[in-house]
Amino acid sequence: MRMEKAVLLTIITERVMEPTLKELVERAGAQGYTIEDVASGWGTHGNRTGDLESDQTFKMLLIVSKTVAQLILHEVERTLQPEYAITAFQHEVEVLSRARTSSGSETL
Amino acid sequence: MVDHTLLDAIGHNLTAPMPLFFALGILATLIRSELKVPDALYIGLTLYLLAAIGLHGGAEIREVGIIAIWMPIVACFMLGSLIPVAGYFILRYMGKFSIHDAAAIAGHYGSVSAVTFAVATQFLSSLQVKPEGYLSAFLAILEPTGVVVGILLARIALQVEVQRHGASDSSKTTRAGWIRPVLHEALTGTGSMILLGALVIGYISGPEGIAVTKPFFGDLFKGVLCLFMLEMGLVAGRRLAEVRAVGAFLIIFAICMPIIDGTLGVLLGGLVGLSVGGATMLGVMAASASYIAAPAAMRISLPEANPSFYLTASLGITFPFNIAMGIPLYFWLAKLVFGS
Repeated sequence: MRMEKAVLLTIITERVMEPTLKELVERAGAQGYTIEDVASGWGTHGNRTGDLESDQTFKMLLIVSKTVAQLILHEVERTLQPEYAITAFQHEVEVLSRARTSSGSETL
Repeated sequence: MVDHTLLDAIGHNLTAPMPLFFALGILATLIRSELKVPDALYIGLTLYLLAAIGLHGGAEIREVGIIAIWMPIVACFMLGSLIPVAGYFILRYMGKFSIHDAAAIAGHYGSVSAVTFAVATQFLSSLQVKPEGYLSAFLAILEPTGVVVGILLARIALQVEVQRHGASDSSKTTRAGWIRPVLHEALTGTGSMILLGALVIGYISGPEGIAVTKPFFGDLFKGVLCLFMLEMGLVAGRRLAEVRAVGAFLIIFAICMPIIDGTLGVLLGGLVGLSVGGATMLGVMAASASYIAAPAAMRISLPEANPSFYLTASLGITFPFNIAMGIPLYFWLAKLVFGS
């Protein structure tokens, strides 16, 4: 078993931003992501009940290299953060290495 | 057609199962009941209702032919464009809302609520009034038109603002390529896609073709609509708490605007030759405000606008108003003006 260091990037944002965020991370070089539905939430953008599409929230998880993580966070901060409900954070993690891993970015 | 005064019509409407299920939903929220419609069922009910509405509309267009309905189509485009423009100026200059908020709210009122439409068809059918069946196709016209006009208004107003004051942040006025995501959202979202798809299928199959689906899409429609109204009551009930926060002007706007729009729709409908039922339905469509497609599209294109304003106005105030009072009011008005 061989482990390698990577960054687990978690982005929680509005459902309507899903296509935009997918495009953004792909452009930044991510080679995969996992999307989870979020039931509801509350924060500086008010109560996001999840009843309507405009009110729904989702979570994107990515395992990426440090460089790609920085690029994604920079783009998120520049283009999405000013107007949308968005939370992004990262963890350093160890990922089970896969034979076909190339640029340090894999699907969870 | 049974003769009704306005009060009779309102009373008849309020004792029908659909508004009562809606009231049950609101009551359940207010007393913090555990009553819940599962998310997957809600999506299933939406698909069912819009498929049924679309199939019926498409088959009716096939029956009468597109050429025969060009005047109502023009009337529909006029409503879809005029309503957001009027709403914008009222909100911006009388209500003192920001450009983004005024345009986003106005766009919601230019767009349409398919559920209000469905409840109105059941109200008319309970009175044995038959509107032109092809009118459901107009939902597909009004829904994106109102949203696009609302966003256009914001862009024009911001551009004017920049020219007048030389605003420092011009990025908001020049956000490139805005029309593509908006149209994509407005035309390919779950609701629009199934409605447009079912319209085309209904048109291709024709009235005889869709007859085979009647036991499912016809006979069960009222029951499904009741369950859907229950869920809408639950959702609207959760918005009621925010009504006080949006201010008196928006509350008055959310009640008066549908009456003005509904009257305009009824009059225009009658003038282009629709029956009393048809004019009522055009009035209902003009009066209703979107709360599913429009909020999502506005969130993408006008993120600076406060969603609390447009959602509370359209879903928390206008939708219940139309369900309880608006629908019988527009019917009464249509009968009064064009009834003879």
